Amino acid sequence: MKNSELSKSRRSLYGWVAVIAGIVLFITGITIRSFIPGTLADTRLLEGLGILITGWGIIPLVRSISIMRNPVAAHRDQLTETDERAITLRNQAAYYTFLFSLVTTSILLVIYSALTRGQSGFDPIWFSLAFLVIAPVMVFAGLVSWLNRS
Amino acid sequence: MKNYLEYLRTKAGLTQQDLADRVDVSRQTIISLENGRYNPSILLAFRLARLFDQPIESIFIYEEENRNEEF
Repeated sequence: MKNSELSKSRRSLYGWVAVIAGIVLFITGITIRSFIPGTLADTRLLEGLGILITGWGIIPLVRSISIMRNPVAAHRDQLTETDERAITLRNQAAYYTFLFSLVTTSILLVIYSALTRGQSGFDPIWFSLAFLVIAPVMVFAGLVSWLNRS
Repeated sequence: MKNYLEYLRTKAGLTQQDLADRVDVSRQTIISLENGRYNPSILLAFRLARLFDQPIESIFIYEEENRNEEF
């Protein structure tokens, strides 16, 4: 079997497994909620997870179906996704989006600090904003350092 | 970076889509390359060079004054 065919059948298999597992989880959640009232755990979490996994499985399934129907168009779609220029542009866009969100959150933190005038005590909003400024910078710096390791 | 991609492509009787399919990139990338708006990766440059049976430096012309140009 060719590599591309193997990849297609694997994609299809993963898709089916995820869709079936998601549906089973969703039905289990609904069944527990409907027939066993008063359960301690909230089954909506199970249902939500089921929907998520189903959605996750539908994507490779739809792709494998579109490849079967029109292999040329599907190949071009895949090329558009993996195209080096498209990847470069997406990376650049992601970088500028990161900078934008960082600057926006920093401005919000400064404004919030000014409005609250540095009140003493634990302020969850201030700490959340500070976390949203510091954590991405640390992750960014860590990733740059890790990617530069060789 | 200047290049002779459009000349070589038309000489070979290929459309932009044909060329894109042959070197596994999108048509938009070929358009950007031909317009000189995008500099290819070394891998893509090699694929193009092999396809047209030309050395890389005869397809892509390196210009010193544009060395900091991106995309």
